[in-house]
Amino acid sequence: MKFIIFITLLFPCIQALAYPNFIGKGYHACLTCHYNPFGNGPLNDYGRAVGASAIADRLFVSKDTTDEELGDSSGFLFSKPNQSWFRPSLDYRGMQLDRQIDQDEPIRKFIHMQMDATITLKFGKSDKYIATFTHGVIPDNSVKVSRRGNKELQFSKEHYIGFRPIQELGIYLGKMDKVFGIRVPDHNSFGKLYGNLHQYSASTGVLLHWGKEKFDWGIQAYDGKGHVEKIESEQTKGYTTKFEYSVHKEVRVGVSILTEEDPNQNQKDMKAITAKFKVGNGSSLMAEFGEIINTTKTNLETTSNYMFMQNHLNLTRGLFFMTTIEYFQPNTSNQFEFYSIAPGVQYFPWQRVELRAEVQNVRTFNDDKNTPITNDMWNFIGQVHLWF
Amino acid sequence: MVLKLVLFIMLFSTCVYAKKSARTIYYKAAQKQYLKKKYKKSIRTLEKYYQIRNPKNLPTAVIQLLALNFLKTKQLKSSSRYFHYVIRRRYKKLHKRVINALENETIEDMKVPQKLLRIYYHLGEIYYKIYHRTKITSYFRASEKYFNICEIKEHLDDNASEYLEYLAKLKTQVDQKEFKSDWFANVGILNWQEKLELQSQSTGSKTKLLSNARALCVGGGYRYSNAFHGIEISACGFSGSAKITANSTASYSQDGVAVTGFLLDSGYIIKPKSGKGSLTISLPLFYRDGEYSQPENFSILGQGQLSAGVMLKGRYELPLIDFTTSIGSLGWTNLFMMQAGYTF
Repeated sequence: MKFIIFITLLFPCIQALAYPNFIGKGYHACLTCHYNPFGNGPLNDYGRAVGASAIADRLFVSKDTTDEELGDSSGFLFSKPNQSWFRPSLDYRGMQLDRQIDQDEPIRKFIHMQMDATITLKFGKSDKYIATFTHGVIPDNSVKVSRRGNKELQFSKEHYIGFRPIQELGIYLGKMDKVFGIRVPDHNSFGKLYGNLHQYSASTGVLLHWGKEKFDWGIQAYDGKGHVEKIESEQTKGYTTKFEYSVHKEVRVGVSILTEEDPNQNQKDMKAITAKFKVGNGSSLMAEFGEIINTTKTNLETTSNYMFMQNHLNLTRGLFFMTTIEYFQPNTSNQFEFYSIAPGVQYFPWQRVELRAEVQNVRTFNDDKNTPITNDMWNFIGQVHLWF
Repeated sequence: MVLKLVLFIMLFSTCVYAKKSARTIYYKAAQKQYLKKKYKKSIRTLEKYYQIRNPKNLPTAVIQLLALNFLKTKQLKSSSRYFHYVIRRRYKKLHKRVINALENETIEDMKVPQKLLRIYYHLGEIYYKIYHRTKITSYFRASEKYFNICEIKEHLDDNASEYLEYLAKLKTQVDQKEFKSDWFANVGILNWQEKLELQSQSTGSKTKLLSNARALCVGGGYRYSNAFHGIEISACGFSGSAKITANSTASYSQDGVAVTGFLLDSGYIIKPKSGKGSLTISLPLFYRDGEYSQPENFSILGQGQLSAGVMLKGRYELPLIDFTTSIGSLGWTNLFMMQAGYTF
């Protein structure tokens, strides 16, 4: 407790933590725990300390070890940083994906989704100046054929410099994730996948952030041209903006608008409304409703709708029962629709370790009489996430 | 004759006097023993002359003395019972008025006799002690009530305030443990997939069919829970549409088939971290009836079906409303439901 108060005093103007579902712990803004004001990327000292001392379970941690001590050892490779300007970190995320587990021969695959090495430099009072560089590697067996022809992928995941002349205002230049919707790590969700907001979508540009206790607003101009990790249709340039406002200490709502164009002059316009709710002590509910309009160079327009909802029920320290519910209609002019529901558990047994296991049910609705109904698809998704 | 009458009267009056004086002697002795803190002895003294286990026939003063002795000898429930006898005999109407005034927050303007306040203070103590022994919420509430009266009416108010402070510290814990009854209404969408069969009437051969359906569901239920766990019974009626095709081919296909039915379920609620989020494991009964048209010489098996199974529900209390997601496995039927609810 003393440690939390100490940290809060040390960083008086920041309030939140890692995943957006931590609104359940009372954290509304991303900047509290991340260098990026809209989340994702490396955690700052506070984020690491809170993750260690308040979020993760204490499995196999001796009773004599206090939460303060856990917070102290939350730095790179279990250390306490002895200087204030240099913060290295490593991130790994792997996924066991078993498709059609109800069939006799399920399709099983282990995918290395993320292998990142990051260096962050920070200077000035309350990290006034920051520079962060993340290099990502995806082994050949984990890259889709359509993306790199099964070749190992090495790329700069993000690199940017940031300047906050005053605590409420920040200007960021470089390669960053696009500011849109709720930034969850589920990059394969319909909205992220079809909205070009997945793990390869970070683009080079400029981001302006204005945030106070009650709100966060960001506007970003970007260009993804020439990025080695992107296929051609993903190398888009455009603008995006997002505004989030805490209408209540337990409710934060938001709106996002994006417009972009790929090198072949195909245009994508997106808008979404979001809501995040704190439920009791540690639980949360998040929802995003969005529309994606794709317009080809020849003016053919396709409108898609999606819904993403994720609920976290905090069972005990570090352990959550979660349910991810998705809806996707790829083209509103026909009645082809997907429903997906994935109940599962998320567990942080120790600091630096996250485990996640879900069973996903995917159901399709199709009003076309000539298309038969397909059996529900059942998948197992197991994830391990490590950060050092 | 006159002499006989005089003798009779003399004998009778002596007997009555003797009886009365004996009663007084025992009572006085018991009172003295109480004052000398010989509580058990005091009870035994009263027991010699009175049938103390039957307070209906006892004088009020004796009941009160017994109540005090029981309190001191930690026979708390007996003490409470005897104090309530005293209240019923002496202050029945007034007591009712005091309790009503406390509830209506008008007690400050009321005159309450010191003797009654003394009894209230003892009752506060008794229920406080019983609560600590049993952890039963009703004793907590009773103790809080009587100490509140004493505090407001400034009878041993410092002591009463001290007790109330202790009780306030326990209040959250007590509130969380207390079971509450709630009625709720909800509206939601559900969708499910199920397997049916198309049977040829001439050959008896069967073709497997698959149906996807979705519907709007309106209902409600009853919940009995505290902050940690509870039970729930809910029901909803639904109406929607389904598509049905032969499995893996579209040789038989119907779309927009009207389906109606109901879903009943009862389950056990777990509220981890005593919060506003809960998990319910329930046993649902799911009846649906689809108006599938049957091709000539064929019949559809499973047109109206009742299934039972197991369902897992996650409920999240938001400001004003709550949100529930349910996933059910009922034999060949997989069911998924999202509901918004209001608790009355």
